[in-house]
Amino acid sequence: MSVEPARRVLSNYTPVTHARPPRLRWRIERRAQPLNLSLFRFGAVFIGIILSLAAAPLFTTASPRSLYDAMWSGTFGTATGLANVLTIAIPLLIAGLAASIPYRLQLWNVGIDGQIYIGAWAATGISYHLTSQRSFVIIPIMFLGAMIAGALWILIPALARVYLGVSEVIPTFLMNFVALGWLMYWATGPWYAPSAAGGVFAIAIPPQADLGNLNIGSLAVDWGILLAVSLPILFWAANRFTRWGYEVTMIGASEKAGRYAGMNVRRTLIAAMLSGGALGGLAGALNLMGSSYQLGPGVTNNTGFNGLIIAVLAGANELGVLVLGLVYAVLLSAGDAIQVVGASADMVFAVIGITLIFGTFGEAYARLHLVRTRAPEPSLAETGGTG
Amino acid sequence: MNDTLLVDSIASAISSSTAVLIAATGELLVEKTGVYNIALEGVMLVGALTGFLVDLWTGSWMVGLLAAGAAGALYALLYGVITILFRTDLIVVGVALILIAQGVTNTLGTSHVGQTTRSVIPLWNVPGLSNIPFIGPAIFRQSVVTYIAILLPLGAIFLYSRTRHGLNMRSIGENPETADTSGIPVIGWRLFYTALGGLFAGVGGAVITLGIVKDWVSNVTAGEGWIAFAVVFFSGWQPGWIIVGAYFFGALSVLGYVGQALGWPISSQFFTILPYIGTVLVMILRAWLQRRRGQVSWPAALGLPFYRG
Repeated sequence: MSVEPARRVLSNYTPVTHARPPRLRWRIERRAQPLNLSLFRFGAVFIGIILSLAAAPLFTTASPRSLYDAMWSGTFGTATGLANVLTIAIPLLIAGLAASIPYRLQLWNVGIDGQIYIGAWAATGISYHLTSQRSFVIIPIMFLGAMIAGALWILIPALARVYLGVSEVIPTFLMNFVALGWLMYWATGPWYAPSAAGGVFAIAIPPQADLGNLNIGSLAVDWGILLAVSLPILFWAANRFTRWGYEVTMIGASEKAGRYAGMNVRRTLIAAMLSGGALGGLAGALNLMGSSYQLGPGVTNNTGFNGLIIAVLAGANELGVLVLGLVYAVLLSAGDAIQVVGASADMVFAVIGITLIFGTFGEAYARLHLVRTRAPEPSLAETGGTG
Repeated sequence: MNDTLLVDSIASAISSSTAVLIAATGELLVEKTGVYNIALEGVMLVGALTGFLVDLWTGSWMVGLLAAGAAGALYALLYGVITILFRTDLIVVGVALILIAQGVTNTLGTSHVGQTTRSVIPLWNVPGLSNIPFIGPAIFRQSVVTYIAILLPLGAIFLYSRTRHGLNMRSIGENPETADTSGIPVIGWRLFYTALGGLFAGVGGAVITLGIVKDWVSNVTAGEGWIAFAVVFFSGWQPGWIIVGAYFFGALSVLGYVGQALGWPISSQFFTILPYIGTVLVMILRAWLQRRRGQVSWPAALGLPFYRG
């Protein structure tokens, strides 16, 4: 290895008089001063949403008019549409928080769907054992049980990340499948409820475990919405005004800086991941007690992934999670609605994916720029050609 | 357990592992250059639908597989361009491309749900060996692709341990700055291998539709892309262990059905979750052992963007 390059230098040596003019080349380079990241990210997301909505008629056989009519009545046009938006938003906002709290520390909670499964499973099991209790006893215990189950579900990946340096991405994600298998065992086995409509469902939770509706005029949405809206604000305030928030911000910027400042980095990392897991479990309980009432694989329909997307696009800012969570709930509800005119319900996932790509491009634009520079003289390798 | 059931389950364990084996080998090639394609599931789904549709159109499974490979390569190249060229986050873009693949394939495939393929990947009885009692029908009467699939990781072993090119690719994954200095076009090879891995995954997806399921179902890959992704981590980035991992995972998933058929007191879900728990435990165990020895097995630059200067 050490001899060869030297020989190449000699063989490629050309007298200065014959040197070619330096080539001009397009390169992608980092900006010296990045632009406003969140502005470009948000802007790009909204451009993506508008373009997707404009392009939607191309992918269906329905007329554009009936498609947009269906979207409108499924979101803001009717009280049931708006109620559907908010019902979708409840677990989605909590899932967004479940991703954003670890994400502040550069940790990925890719296992929210699993935590939703396991939270809903724990809540269901608790409700079966407390059927004789009143609502104000049973509901808090179900919430608590779901949160503990969700936190335990992420415990092993969290410990492995903090003590052994195993990336949390793969373990948290794989635990999703474990949770699904566990849920399917209970829903098809001990808790199985034969259903005429098909699909896998467990026996319904007792009626007093239903969260009940909050009625505003003709709009009926379950009480969970108050929790879903207030928690992001609460976490935002906690991150901004408490010592915990300061530590998270500092360690998130640099683990080393946090350690030198005498912070307990390990404890903070573990606490953030367990909080993420607990919130994932809570999202599962809220879905169970607010809309599905029966344990089954349908307690999440990519809710965890969508929550992760929201958290990333919001740059882990909880108020951003609140705004984007509501925006994506509108999109998802519109996706439900367009099935009426024969469009595929999965189209909305493609739209969410596309907006996410837009968002990452927006952020990339704020960080990088295309420059035309004079490339340095061709290096050894470009002329010598290894590889 | 009676003999025919055992033979059938070994045969189906092998055939159902083929797609994972191909996709995992492709993913290994990508990860060796320091990029992980987390959108593997989406790439497989795109390949599965392309293979199915092209087969419907031409009536040839071979053309279907080729088209699936091309579609997979293009989709993976899209991932590569977005993440490698624009230095965006691998996980975010991967999740996005999985969602897009789900949405697009389910939208385009809606009218084909339940439709059977026009041709299927044929079985090949290995001359001589397939007549051995018991072992023959269990192992040597597989689809042609199965035999090729086993050769792929062996090819990767040769590439990485015997060729200069393989050494260069490993250096990109371990230390791209050094590789760049010694003149290896880091970005170019990363893009190339991302596309090549996508080609493998696309073919793997089409093997599911044209060789195993034989019709179109929504989300036909059903998490096999994720299993392939997990197999690479399970293998510790060693091609030989990819074969072990893929067949081990396949065997576990078939054990669930066997258990059901024989009325074992263990739920079939137990066997479906074992591979995932196993992978997590293997990752942790490996990290613990390496911590004691002070070395890591994954490519050191895995998942990190490369900037020149």
